[in-house]
Amino acid sequence: MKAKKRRHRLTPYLYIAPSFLVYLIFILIPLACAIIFSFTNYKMQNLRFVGLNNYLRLFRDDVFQKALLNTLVYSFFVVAINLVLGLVVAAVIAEGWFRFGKFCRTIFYIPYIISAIAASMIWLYMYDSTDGVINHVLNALGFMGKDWLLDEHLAMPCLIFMGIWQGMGYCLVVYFSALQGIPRYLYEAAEIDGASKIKQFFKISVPMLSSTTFFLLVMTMIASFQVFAQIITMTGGGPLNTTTTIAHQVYINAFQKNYMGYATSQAVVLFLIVLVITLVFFRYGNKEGDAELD
Amino acid sequence: MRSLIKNRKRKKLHITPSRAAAWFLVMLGACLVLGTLLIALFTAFKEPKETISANFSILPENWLWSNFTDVLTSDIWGRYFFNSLFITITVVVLSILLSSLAGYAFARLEFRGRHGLFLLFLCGMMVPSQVYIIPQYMLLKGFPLAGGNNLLGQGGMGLLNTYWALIIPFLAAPLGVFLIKQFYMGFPKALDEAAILDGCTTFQVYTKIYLPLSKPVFGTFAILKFTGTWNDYFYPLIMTNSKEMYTVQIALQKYHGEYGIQWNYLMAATAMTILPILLLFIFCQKYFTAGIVTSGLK
Repeated sequence: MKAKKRRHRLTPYLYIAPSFLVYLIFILIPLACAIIFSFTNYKMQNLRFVGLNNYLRLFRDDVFQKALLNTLVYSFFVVAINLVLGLVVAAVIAEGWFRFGKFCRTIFYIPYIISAIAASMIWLYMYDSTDGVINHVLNALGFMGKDWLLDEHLAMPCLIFMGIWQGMGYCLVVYFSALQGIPRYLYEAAEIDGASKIKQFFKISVPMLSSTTFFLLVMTMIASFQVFAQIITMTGGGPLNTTTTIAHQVYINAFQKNYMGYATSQAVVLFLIVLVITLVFFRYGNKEGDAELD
Repeated sequence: MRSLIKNRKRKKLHITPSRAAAWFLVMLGACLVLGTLLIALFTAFKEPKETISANFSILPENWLWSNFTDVLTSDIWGRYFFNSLFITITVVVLSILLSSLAGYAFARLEFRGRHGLFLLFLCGMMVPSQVYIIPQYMLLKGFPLAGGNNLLGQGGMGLLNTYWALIIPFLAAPLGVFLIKQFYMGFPKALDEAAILDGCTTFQVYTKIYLPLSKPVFGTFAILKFTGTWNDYFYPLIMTNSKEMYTVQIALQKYHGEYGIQWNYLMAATAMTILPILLLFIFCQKYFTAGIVTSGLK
C-alpha cells in the first residue's frame, strides 16, 4: 500500500521529467553558466575570474555603445510603428464595410511567417544600389537612386522599414481578433449618443484593447531586441557600425573574436534590458494584471 | 434575423470620403507588400540579363523553371532540404509528445512544487537565446563520449555538427507546455474522476481521454514550432560548420555570400525555402491564426 502510494506521488514527476531534463540541461544550466562566464575572461580554454571587468569594459567600448543605441532605436521604431499601424489597419478592416479585408489580412501576414533570412534576400534585391527594384522605380520616375544599405544615414531606416514590412501583419492579426471580442453594444450605444467613428476608436477600441497592446508590446519588443539575421545578412553591422546591434556584437565577439566571456556579459546586458522593460510594462502597462487575451 | 443582418450590412456600405481614403491607404499598403513578394517571385523565373536594371520588367520574358533546377543542382540543396525537414518534423513530433505529457501533469495532477516548476518553465520563454548560446555551445562541444570526445568531453567536436545538437535542445518547449496546460485545464474534471473510478490509471486517463481531444492545441503548437524551427537561423549557424549539416536558412545565407549575386538564382533559392511554410500556411490557416493569437513566438 505504502509503495503504491509512493509510486503515485512519483508519477507526476515522471511525466514532467523528459521535458524538464532537456530544459534543465540545455537552457537552465547554460543560463546559470552564462552569468558566471560573464565575470570571466573565458576564451575557449583557460578560465579566470576578472570580477566586474567585462561589465566595466562595456562602458568604454564605443562599438558596444553604438550597438546598444542602435538596438534601442531599431526596437523603438519597429515596435511603435508596428503597433500603431497594426491597430489602425485592424480597426479599418474590422469595420465590416471594407472590401477585400480578409485578403489584405492574409497579404500583410505572409511576410511574418517567412524567415528573416528569406526576407533579407528579398530586401537585398529591393535595396540594391545597381539592380535594385527601388532604385529602378526612382530612376523611372526621374529621381536619382540611392545607395540604400551603404549609406550611413539610410541603412538603419531601411532595416526599420523592413522590420515593419515583416512584423506589422502579426500585430494586425492579433488586434483584429481582439477587436472581434469587444461587445458590439458598446459601439451601438456610442453611435446613438452621436460619437464619431474616430471618437469611438479612441474611447472604446483603444481602452478595450489595452491588455492586447500590452501583450504585443512585450512580445514584439523581446523579438526586436534580438534582431540579428537581417543585420548579418544585409549590412554586416555597417556602414561604420551604424546598424550593428547587441545580438550582432555578441556573435562577433564570441564566435569571430573568441572573447566568450566578454560576449556573454553583453548578452546578459541585453537580457537585463529586456527584463527591466518587461517588468516596467507589467507594473504600469497592465493594470488588470493579466497578459492573456481571453 | 438574416435579412436584418443583411440590411445592416447594406446600410454600412455608405462610402464616405474618409472611408474611401482609409480603404485606399490600406489597399495601397497591401499592394506594396504583395508587390515586393511577387517581384521577388517573378525574378526567380527570369534570365540573368533581365535582372539588370536596364532591362527591367516586372514579368519575365520566358518563364524559366530551369532556374530552380539550376540552383538545386549547383550545391547539395537536396541535403539541406532533407536536414531542415528531418530536424523540423522530428522536433515538432517529439516536442508535442513531451510537452503534452508535462502539460497534463501541470494541469491535472497534484504534486509538490507544481507551481514553482511551472514558473521555472515560463521563465525560459523570456530569456533571449544569445544569453545562453555560448554555454550551450560549450556543452555540446564538450559532450562526453560523443564525436571523438573522451569521458571528460575533450578531444573532439562532441555533438556539434550532428542532428542531436539541432534537435534535442528544442524538445523542451516552454511555450508548448504552457499552451497545452491551459488547454487541458479547460476540460471538465469530472471526466478524469469518472475514469479513475472505472479503474483507469492517470496515464490511461491521459492517453484515452486527453490525447484524443488534443487536436486543436496540438495543431496550433505544431504550426508555431514548425515555423520557428524551419526559420531558425542563429542556433544552427552556431552549432554547424560542415556543409552536410546546414539547414536551408544557413545554406541560403551562404549562397548569397559565396556565389556573387545573381538575382534570379538567389530569388529562386529564396522562394524554395519559403515554399514549405507557405504550403503549411495555405492548408492550415485556422491553426496559424489561433497560434499567433495565443502566443507571440518568432
